[in-house]
Amino acid sequence: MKAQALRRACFVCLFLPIANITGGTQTFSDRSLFLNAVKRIQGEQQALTFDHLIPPLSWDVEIGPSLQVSNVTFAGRFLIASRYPEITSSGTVLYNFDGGGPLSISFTSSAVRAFGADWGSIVSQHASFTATLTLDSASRSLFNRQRGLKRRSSVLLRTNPL
Amino acid sequence: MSLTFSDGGIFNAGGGFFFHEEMLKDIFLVREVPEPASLKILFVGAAMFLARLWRRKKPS
Repeated sequence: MKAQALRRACFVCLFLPIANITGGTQTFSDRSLFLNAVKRIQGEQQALTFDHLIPPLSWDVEIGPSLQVSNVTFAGRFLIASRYPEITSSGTVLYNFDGGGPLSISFTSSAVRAFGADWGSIVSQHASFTATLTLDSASRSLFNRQRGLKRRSSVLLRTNPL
Repeated sequence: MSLTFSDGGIFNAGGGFFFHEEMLKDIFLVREVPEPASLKILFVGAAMFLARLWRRKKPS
């Protein structure tokens, strides 16, 4: 049953903000635009994937309630790293399986000035859904009706530390 | 420093359940790097602190 749901996975194309000089936010719908904007931000740039978590010849791996990758901690009910082609056209996703609450991301070391990712969800009964990213005390709702993760988008950028 | 990503917990909502099924991949982040000037100030402050400690311990 879950496999069927995975085949219907719907990834949102989130439009996440980028802070400008005045402390406001700017929105991106395309990762390449985001990466261009990131060049203006001083700091150490880092790309993180979950590819290394899955052994060869496997499609997924069960992780547990939390995962730390390079000083970034992900927490949910039960996290699974998966690269099933029904979910993602490339790479590995981290999946909050049957969570009672949202996926949380925290940073255990130096301040983060920008954060971006491709975000999605399994919404087999719904053609679309509203996703929400909450940063500190500010919330931003994001939504999209596009299925699949073919399009590279969904990024968040701030000049102030998260 | 943290953020949360929520899909609203709508998976299986029709069956009376409200599961979150968020996914993400291909993360890109920019970390703050301390400025050299900040490091210099930190070094001077540490030196002053150690000097004060040394003077306190020194018998008069």
